[in-house]
Amino acid sequence: MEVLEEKDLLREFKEPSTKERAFRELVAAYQERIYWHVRKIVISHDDADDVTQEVFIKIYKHLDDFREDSQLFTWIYRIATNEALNQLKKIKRRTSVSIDDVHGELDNHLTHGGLISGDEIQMKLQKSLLKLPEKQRLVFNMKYFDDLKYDEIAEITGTSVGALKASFHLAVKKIEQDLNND
Amino acid sequence: MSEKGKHIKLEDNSELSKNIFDVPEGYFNSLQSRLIENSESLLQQSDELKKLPFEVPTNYFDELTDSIMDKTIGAETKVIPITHQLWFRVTAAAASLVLVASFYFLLPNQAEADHSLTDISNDTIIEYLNAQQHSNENIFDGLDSLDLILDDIIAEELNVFADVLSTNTELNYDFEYFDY
Repeated sequence: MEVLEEKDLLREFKEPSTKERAFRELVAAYQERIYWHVRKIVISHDDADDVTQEVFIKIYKHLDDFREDSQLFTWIYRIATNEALNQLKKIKRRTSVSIDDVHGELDNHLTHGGLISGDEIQMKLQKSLLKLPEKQRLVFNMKYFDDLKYDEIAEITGTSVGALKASFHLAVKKIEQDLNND
Repeated sequence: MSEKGKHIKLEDNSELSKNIFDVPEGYFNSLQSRLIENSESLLQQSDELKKLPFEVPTNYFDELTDSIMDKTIGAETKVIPITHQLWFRVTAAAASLVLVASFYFLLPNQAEADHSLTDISNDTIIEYLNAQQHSNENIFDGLDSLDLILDDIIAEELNVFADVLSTNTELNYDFEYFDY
């Protein structure tokens, strides 16, 4: 199938006759990136699955209102990030722990949960990441794993590039220290 | 007086306090980036670290596409307006027939009505009309009390809704972190 440009995709989504084709293409283009972005935040596959589906339902409902003053993918990432953070709040309530202890729950899932593999160093990195404050973990994930540019991350999180660089720098320092100490 | 003999004072001497050192163009802009690059060394050295220790079930992403399409496009096409549904049309047609039939059988025949009124005294008719008016007033009283009951129910439901929102903040979460 011919790949639609972003503008064409948005135009086709607004046309009832081509809406389904446009949305199917959008889902195909973004679902894996969004799933992995969310999975890195919520760790569990089941939670990531729920959140990813919810993200696309929200996109479907709100795409007509997308103002096109930002890139479509940063808008989608923004929704995904918001939904994933909200899922952490739900986990907090589900497990009756404070938001700081949510990371303990995520660590527990990382150690004992299903659909987790990887070698020792990859697990170590994920466990180190769970020790970071939420914002630093987010920024690190987007910069290190997703290779996003600082200005893209700034658009997604609504934070200045300078603050993001500082967050990433701190995250890197803490992770390296943690990896070297173990 | 010659330059040699001039007394130089450090205080309040703007010429002496000038910085004589220079840095390459754009040095400070790139300093932070270079510091970050240097500190990334361990993480950048290993491509293995960039791999995630997570797995997904077989064919997960194919099924995910289907599930998303089903919950969006599929859900929208399945919603048929009530006025387009067969049971609604049949019920509406039947109700219309019953209404027409009721009017036909229950409305008094005009000729019969005119004839029967001649046999009734004026006093009886006035008494009947007075009784009818009293009965209508009772109906309106009843409607007022019904409104009050409905207002109470609405207020009660709104209170329950407000309580739920205050104790379940996630219902109010939308756009809390970011504005879409």
